[in-house]
Amino acid sequence: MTENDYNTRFREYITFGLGIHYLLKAIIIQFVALLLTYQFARPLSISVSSPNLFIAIYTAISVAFLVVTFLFSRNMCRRSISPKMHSKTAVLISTILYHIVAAAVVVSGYTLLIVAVSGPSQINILDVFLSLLFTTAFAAILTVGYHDELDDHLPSVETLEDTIDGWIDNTAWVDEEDNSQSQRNRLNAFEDDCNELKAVFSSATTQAGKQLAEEFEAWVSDFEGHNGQAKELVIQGQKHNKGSNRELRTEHEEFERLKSRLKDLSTRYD
Amino acid sequence: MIEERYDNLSDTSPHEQYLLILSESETCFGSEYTDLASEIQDRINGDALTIQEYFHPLEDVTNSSRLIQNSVWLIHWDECLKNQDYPCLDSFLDQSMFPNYAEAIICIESGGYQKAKEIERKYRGISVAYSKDTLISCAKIHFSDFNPTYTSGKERVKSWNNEICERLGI
Repeated sequence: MTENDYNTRFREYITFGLGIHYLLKAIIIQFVALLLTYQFARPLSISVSSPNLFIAIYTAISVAFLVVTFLFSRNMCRRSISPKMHSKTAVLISTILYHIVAAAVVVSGYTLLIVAVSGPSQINILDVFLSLLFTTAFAAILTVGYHDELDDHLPSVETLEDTIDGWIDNTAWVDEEDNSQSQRNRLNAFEDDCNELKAVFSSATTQAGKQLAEEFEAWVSDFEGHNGQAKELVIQGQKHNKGSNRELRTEHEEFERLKSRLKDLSTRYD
Repeated sequence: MIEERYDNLSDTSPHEQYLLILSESETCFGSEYTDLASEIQDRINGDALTIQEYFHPLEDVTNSSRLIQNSVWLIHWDECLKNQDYPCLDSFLDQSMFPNYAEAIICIESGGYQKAKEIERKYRGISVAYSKDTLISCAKIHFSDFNPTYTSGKERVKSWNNEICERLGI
């Protein structure tokens, strides 16, 4: 993997294949919001009669925003059609990155608007928790914003899982009675599922998702070009002790690899 | 499994055909069957016919419905027929049973031309190859007729396909 690919894939934990400009737009809006907030909040330290109560309230709201960010990140990861992003680790990375970006905005806002003007001594514990609230709120805004953009592009989790499950179920056409009508019907259903999956995968926006879509389409194209006997060998593999058709063996191995990846994509990790 | 009958000549093109290989090993006449299939493919006119090799496990050699889906059978004499290890093959190769427009080629790696003639007398209508060149020549002759590049070839492919469908109950 080149450095460029690595950077792109890392960036996709936030953008999910959409442009970085959505992120920049959100950051600018947040920064302006922060600027206005701090301008009106001068003097900058917040003083209330019962700080512990406010700390508890800020913490509770922050946790709520954190959960929102986590849930929306998880939904985007599930819908990304990217095997790499279909994991708890990817969701955590995505959630953390959103918070890092939001924290960067809040910290830079504090530095420019509070510390630079009044000095760090003006910041009390309540300000810290308020900043935490801002950070989680901004992270949630970013996540919901990206989710909103992706909503039109990507299939729903249910559509993705149902289509993949249908495809995997219908690979059992090879187990139907040989040369029977039911076997031919099941093969037709499997080929319909192939086309349906191709259509679903064509909406992939991530690099890994697009790659999976290309690999799947290439495999389907080869598969459809074969006669029925060869199609069976591609799905089942060849049973001869020594000899085997290299092309069909390669296609069978690719089928097993794709099937394994698709199983991962349709399996919930929680 | 053969998927469907051909109703029109245009259905036959492009056509993918498999060389059925009945052999315990993966080589014959010093070459891998895969390479032999490639050489046969290289000698085929047009691009409407694709040839590939299909290794059928000898443990399942009684499965005639599977065997007949291949228009060319390559059968290794020493490994399959010489010692009558698979008696069902003799009945499958009987002219009255063998599908029209299909071709069986028995491969003998020792004995040469004389042995080939002897086996040909036993299995009437079946070709016997005693060298790589005679094997490729036999296959080439078959596929020069059984080739949907030409109208007559389309007729043969359609007729063969539909006969196999008939036998399989499709």
